[in-house]
Amino acid sequence: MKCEEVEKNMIDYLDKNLEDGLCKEIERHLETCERCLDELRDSQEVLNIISKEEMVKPDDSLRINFYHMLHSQIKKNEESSTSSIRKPSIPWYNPGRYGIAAGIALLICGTFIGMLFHGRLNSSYTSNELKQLHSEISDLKKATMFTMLKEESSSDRIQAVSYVADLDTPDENVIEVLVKTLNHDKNVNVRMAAAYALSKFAGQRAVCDSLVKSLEIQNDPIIQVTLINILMERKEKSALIPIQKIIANKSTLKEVRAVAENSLRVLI
Amino acid sequence: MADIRDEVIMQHVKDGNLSEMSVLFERYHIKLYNFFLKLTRNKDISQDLTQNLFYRMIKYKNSYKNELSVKSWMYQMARNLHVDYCKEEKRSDELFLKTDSYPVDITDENSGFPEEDYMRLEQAFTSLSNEQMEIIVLSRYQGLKYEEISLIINQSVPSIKVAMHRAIKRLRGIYFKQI
Amino acid sequence: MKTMKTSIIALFILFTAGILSAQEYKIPTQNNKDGRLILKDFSDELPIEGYNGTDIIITSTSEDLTPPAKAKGLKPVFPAGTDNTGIGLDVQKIDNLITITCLLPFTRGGEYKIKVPENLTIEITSGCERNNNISITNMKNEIDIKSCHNIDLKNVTGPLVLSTISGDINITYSSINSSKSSSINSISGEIDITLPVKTATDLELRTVSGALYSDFDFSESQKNLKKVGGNEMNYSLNGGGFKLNIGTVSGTIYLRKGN
Repeated sequence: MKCEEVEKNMIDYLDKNLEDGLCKEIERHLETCERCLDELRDSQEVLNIISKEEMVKPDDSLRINFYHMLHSQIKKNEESSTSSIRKPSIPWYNPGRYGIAAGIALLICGTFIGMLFHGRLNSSYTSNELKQLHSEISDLKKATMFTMLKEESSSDRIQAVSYVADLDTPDENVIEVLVKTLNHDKNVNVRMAAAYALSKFAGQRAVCDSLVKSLEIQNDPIIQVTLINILMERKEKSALIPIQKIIANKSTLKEVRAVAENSLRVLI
Repeated sequence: MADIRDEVIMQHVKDGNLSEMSVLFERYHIKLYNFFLKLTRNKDISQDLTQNLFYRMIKYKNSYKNELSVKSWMYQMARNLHVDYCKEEKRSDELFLKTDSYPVDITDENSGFPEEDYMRLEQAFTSLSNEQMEIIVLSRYQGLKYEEISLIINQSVPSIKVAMHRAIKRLRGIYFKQI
Repeated sequence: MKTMKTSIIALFILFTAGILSAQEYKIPTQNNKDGRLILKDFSDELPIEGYNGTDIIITSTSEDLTPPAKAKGLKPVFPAGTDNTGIGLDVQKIDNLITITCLLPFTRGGEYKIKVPENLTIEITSGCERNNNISITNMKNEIDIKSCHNIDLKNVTGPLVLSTISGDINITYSSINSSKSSSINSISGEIDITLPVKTATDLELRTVSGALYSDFDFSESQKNLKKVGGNEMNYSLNGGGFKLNIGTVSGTIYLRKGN
């Protein structure tokens, strides 16, 4: 075999992609050709370095921006074109490093999972395939929930909550995140936004119960007022006890007490 | 259990289930980001191009033909985006000096080679033609077969092989000269 | 000649004393949107001014903070933390996150004034015992305040996330950061906002027992007034856009058209 031929097949040879016959010919050539041997070793090293190089992870914002874009596209898709007052559509959005929280991702996951379990999806998936897709998505969910809770900006977390509130039928994971946010977020306005988001789904017994439970533990006046109002509008009698406790509590702000006493008229 | 095929998912997206694009995103965004990164050597630009790519996949979902593999379609679009980007760069009269604009430290953790080896290789890369660069990236970094690559860049498999060889030879030459 | 000399010296002493009584502490940082400044436990007035620079500059005009001569060689001790600035503040800087905690008890005012690079995010928390009236001007990024007292914002873009108990909130927007949500809430204080007239936003106005006044046109067909448990109105202004949530319990809300 001539050097030229060896050269042509070198890469395939190194990749072990060559048929036996050709391999043997090359090896025979290499036994006597110093130059080709050197070139082979050099190529091997270069290819090795390349193969060992690891992929770079992109910034979190790449995923977040994608999900925001996806959310916009889905909304655009769903919106009827008859409404005369249309929101300006934002096909792209670049909120910066700690941009839009992945509540959007949650929205997507929520919609997707919801559809999977209500069978509204294309029935061309077998149930095995559905399970497999589900697990692929739930890893994603964990990643995005984590990202969402990491958000430094209160405004972004409020935004995330509002996206989630846009869902028609959120799944239980979404509700769980909202309740967590209501009870544990460090910012009052975010907790309030979560309360209002949950109030949209207060038709579900579980959601209503979470709201009542939350009222028992909240001590921020703004949240207390918010929850009392929501529960009063729903005429939720189980809220009576926590509301009475709030009235009895000496440290309750007088404005809150006024709202609480007012609500008794509706609830009793 | 085998993964659900890209083509099945893309068909659903075409049918209106846009949310399933998230599956393709999760499967490919890191690879595609790195594809752009190798060609542009710029993290921010690579991120923009990746985002743009997925946006286009949704916007032009109807142009996806089932006979094509999703991978080929994606990479074709990726290449086009990169070409457009290069044209923009030239037009804006910015000297696109590959050698200078590489602020990225690409060596993650232990890959068994000292950092200088990667840097040396990166230097060597800058001497490749765009075409050679693409072929090396698609083949060795993105793991695509020659047949797949030929669909993406519209060249015959033999000519791709030749280009590969030339590229490796060139890399080899420059890399070892630097010792 | 001698008298002139003494009077010059006297003047000089007075002059330097005047300069010395305004103490300053600078924190170098960058004027970009990733930067975040957190202010904790300030009392009394806290005027903050945004500017196009790269340092956070805190000045204090309080004579109280100048150590007396007897304290020479001694360091001030604060139970709330360690003063690393010389003006009663504890400054911590990690990359572009800067936290300034005021170590003074609420009985001592520091007469602080702060200049902040205008692109930073500002986050302020002060408890109700601190009588902290906050005023901020010329900032171009998110402002996040939890306080008990007055909040005065002029020439800001938002997004704004504000809550107060009894203080009044006064806001004049310069332009609006139109992509992010804002939430502005008070219990008994008034909220008075001047909003650029072309702002495209989804308004959520809520009050339990307060009143709403505005010179914006809310066309009847779009209004969604609810009367149970108070007044709630959701309205898409100029086609709608980011969410602007404004709420009080008993305070009055004024929404004014700006430029």
